[in-house]
Amino acid sequence: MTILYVIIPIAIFLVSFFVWIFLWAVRNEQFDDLETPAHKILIDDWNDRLKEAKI
Amino acid sequence: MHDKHSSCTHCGIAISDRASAIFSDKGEAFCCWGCETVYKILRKEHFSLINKPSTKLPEYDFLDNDSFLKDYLVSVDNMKGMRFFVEGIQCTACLWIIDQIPDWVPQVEKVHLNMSQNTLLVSMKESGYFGKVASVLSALGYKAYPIKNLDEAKHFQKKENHQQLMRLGIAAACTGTIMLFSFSLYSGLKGQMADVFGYLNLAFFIPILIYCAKPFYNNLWRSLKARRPSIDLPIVAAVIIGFVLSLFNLIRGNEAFYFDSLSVLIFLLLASRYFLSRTQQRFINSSYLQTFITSQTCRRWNSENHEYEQVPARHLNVDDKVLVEEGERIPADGAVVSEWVNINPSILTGESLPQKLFKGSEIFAGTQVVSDSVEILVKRTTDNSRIGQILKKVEEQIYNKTPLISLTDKAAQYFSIFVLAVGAVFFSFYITIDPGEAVKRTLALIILACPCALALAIPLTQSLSLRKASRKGYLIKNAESLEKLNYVKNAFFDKTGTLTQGKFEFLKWKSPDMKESRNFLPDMKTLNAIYSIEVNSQHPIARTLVKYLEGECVNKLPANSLTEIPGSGISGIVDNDHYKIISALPDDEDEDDSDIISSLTSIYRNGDLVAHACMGDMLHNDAKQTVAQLENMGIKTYILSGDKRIPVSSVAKKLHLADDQISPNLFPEKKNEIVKNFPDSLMVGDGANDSLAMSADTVSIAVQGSVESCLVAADIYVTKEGVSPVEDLIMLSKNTFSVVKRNLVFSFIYNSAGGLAALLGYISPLTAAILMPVSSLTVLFSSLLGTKFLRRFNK
Repeated sequence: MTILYVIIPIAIFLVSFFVWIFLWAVRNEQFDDLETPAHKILIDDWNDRLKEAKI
Repeated sequence: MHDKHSSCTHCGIAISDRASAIFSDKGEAFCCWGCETVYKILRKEHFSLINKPSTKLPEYDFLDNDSFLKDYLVSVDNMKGMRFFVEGIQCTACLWIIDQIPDWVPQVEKVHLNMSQNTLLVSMKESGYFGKVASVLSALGYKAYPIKNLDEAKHFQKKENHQQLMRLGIAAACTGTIMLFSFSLYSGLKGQMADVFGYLNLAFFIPILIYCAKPFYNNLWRSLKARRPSIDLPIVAAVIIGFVLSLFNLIRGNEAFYFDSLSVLIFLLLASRYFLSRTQQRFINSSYLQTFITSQTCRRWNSENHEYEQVPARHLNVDDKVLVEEGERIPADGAVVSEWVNINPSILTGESLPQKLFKGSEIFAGTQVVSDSVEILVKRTTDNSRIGQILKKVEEQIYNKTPLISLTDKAAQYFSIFVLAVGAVFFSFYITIDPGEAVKRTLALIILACPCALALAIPLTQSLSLRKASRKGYLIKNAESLEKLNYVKNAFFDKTGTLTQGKFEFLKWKSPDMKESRNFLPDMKTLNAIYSIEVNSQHPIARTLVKYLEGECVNKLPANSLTEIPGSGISGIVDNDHYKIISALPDDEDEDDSDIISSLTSIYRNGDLVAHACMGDMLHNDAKQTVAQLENMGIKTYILSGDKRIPVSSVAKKLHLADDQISPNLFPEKKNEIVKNFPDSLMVGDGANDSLAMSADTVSIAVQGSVESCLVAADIYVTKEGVSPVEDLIMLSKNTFSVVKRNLVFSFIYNSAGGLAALLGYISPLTAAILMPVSSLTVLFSSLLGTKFLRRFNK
């Protein structure tokens, strides 16, 4: 059962890591608009046009 | 003829809603304006749109006004931005076409369309082109409303959304971990290791208790302060009591703790509330739209420079002279300085007939100039004008609206009182037998009987319904409005613009004997003569007729000896024939279903009657059916109108409404009073004169094309033409609440069974851990299944 002393800290570390990633994503406004990006991926020249604009 | 088209020609999406679909001249059908435009571009029919930017429309001039920008400008990455609420967004084609805006307006740096909220953020390096962006949008077929920049409020709302999501995420992580740890305990772990897992559970439960469950404490505190029962009371009671009991058991080395059940409960509750808040269309709240009238610019006469200067309407002072062009709205109450003007007062009064005003007569802010420009002398400033006063009252009423005590809260209140009473009786009875066991069983009862399933399933059902509604273009501000619709007994409709199209226009010709009205058309000679004579008249009815005839390729012939006949008529000689044109109120005998004739013009040639021209408004196609359906549902329908009795009763006749169900000649305040006197009423309207009644303690629906003050006042905003959405929404509400009621019954049975088992002492932590999620899952399943049959709603 001593393996538990290794597994439990690892579990706690993993949980904190994922919570940290989630909080980062929320603060980074990744969840603010869930619909538009799904449509944007269908538009072919999305990135091409941006490049053109920069040149 | 379009019946063969069941899907969009461009994107292939099935067209579920024919009213909002677009049909081209060639018989192609499109789901939205985006598809229509993209299709035309691909077919190279619309090259002009790509090559030259459309011109800026004067109605959007106010967008670039400095004092307007002060409230509406947002800063985006050091650029100037403005947010718009855009009507008519449907699919990827809309996104694509709106993304092309920088090509048409080169000053625009970036556009960002949020399709879930129908908002568009436009940013540019220098301001001054927002009017052009709005004009381009309107040329593409979208209607754009600017959204006020509420830096703090907006920021706060965003932060609140993020907080909710973070709470949900942390609750999910902690709950998962607690369940993992509890698993070993349920599989029979004993001894020192069991203690370690117990304390780990406690450690992961503390963030849930302190951080994640905070909204429940806040809500409970607020509802206690307002002395309103709420579902949060039993939830918080169960969480706190459960926590204290588990903590005691943990310290005493007893394994009976409920951390896992409680954390699952909190996680599921947070999740369902998050979904509900995401589907509510709160962004159309009272702070969202400013009225057109106060933000528009107008031309004020500057007596020093002897020219007109552009000033915002709210800077007008008493005794200023203002020029208002055709099609614009009067910015302030005043007196007419010009000789005459034709105005459309329907926005303010609901009257369907255009009016002719002469020099010196009073003119109200908000009325629209129909023909020729007018000069007015300001008598009352915009804020003090009649419409300004109405808007002020609307704001007050919205603020003071009594909140609805929802069905859930009522049920929760009775249930928690019942459970506490049973607990108290049991405790006082059992304490004489076994004090320790009495405490334990009573607490187990309170935890288990918490109507968590109820608190979980109802928000979920509601959010599914709200989502269904918003897919159809019905924006519901909050779930409360949906519940209120369920109780509606009286429906009040505005006439002009709500039941009817709201336009005064030429409808049809009628033969002299008034029969066989279909396909009757006077010969070209008569048409030319009518045009040649009427073009000289300034009367609004003559103007409407002239406008129609101009579209019919008529020629202007010389007309002699023109005489105005007192009582709205004109006569003259064309080609040696003497014509007399007289307008009169119609007799009430018309049989046609949708035309509301408010003016009948008779044309005489050399004394013989040759034709009648009918002018007026048209009923929406779906008005008759909707009213009939509402009556079938047991909802009494009334018409409240500011218009005269004859047009109102002719509408009522076509809708088969009795005389006591119509009230003509109403002022906005009077409408408000009538609606207030009926319990459980619904107000459907579109004009500024309805907005006061819409802001009362009723549920209100603003139909498509409503003025801004209505959008602010209404609980539900419909972006689809016609009144059939009213029926749809009531059906949706009824269906939703039958599911809600079923869930209440389920929840009650579960909790009673669980409570009974707890009292008999059968509840171990393991049984609780199974019972709680199972009851939640049952109601979740029931609501998913229940809203599934709402799919009919989409067809």
